[in-house]
Amino acid sequence: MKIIQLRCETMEINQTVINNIPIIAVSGRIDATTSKDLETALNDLIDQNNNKIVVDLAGVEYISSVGLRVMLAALKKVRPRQGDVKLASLQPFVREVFEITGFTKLFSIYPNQGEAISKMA
Amino acid sequence: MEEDREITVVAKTEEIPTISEFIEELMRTSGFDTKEIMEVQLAAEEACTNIALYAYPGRVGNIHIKAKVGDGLQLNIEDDGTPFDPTKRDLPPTDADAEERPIGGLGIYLIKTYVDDVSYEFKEGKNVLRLVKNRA
Repeated sequence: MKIIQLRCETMEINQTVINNIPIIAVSGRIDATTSKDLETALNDLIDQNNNKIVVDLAGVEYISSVGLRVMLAALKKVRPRQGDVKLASLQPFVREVFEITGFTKLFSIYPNQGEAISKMA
Repeated sequence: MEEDREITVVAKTEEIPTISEFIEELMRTSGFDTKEIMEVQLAAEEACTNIALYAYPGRVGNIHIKAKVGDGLQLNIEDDGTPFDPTKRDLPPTDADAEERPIGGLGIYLIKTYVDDVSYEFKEGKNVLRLVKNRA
């Protein structure tokens, strides 16, 4: 029997706090189904008055426009409060999607989580 | 060697992973690489999300995908919902500031970017969106 390993894994979110900054580390695929969990995680943080958030995408291999919209919605919520949503560690395909859609101009994007945290004012 | 496959799912965003797996399995066995597979998955997801959100207001409908692999991949994404040509939608500005950018509107832009040809027809009561991905 021919077995093909499918790469359409689900999404995992791990949350930590470093230097009082909440870090959302995402792995897997951010698609129309899984993005709802990312949206919930972001909204929960923002509702708790966390306006400066780092989203670490090191483990994310795929993102669709729904995922982009979820992150933009979070950014639009925190910006009026002098907050920010900084992104870190974009994989090549994810970075390409951000570039094609112009989202690299909307977000501060860093090569790793540490730099994103250090640049959060 | 040509290969034809079909899949029908309920038009809900929860079915996106099913569609993605269908595309992955077909393209992987046909020799496409990972990036090509993700590009087509993204294009298909954008098209199917649009159908799931807008094609069947107030009712449940289906998405039917016919795939043909030969020299390249051809996907016909069909629904019998509200007639709508997504290829006519304006491409969004990509230089807008965050405050000006409307949420959404990126789907068709990503589809056109990541497949080699996109065409639409309304045929026998169905919206048919055809995506073509050539081999590298």
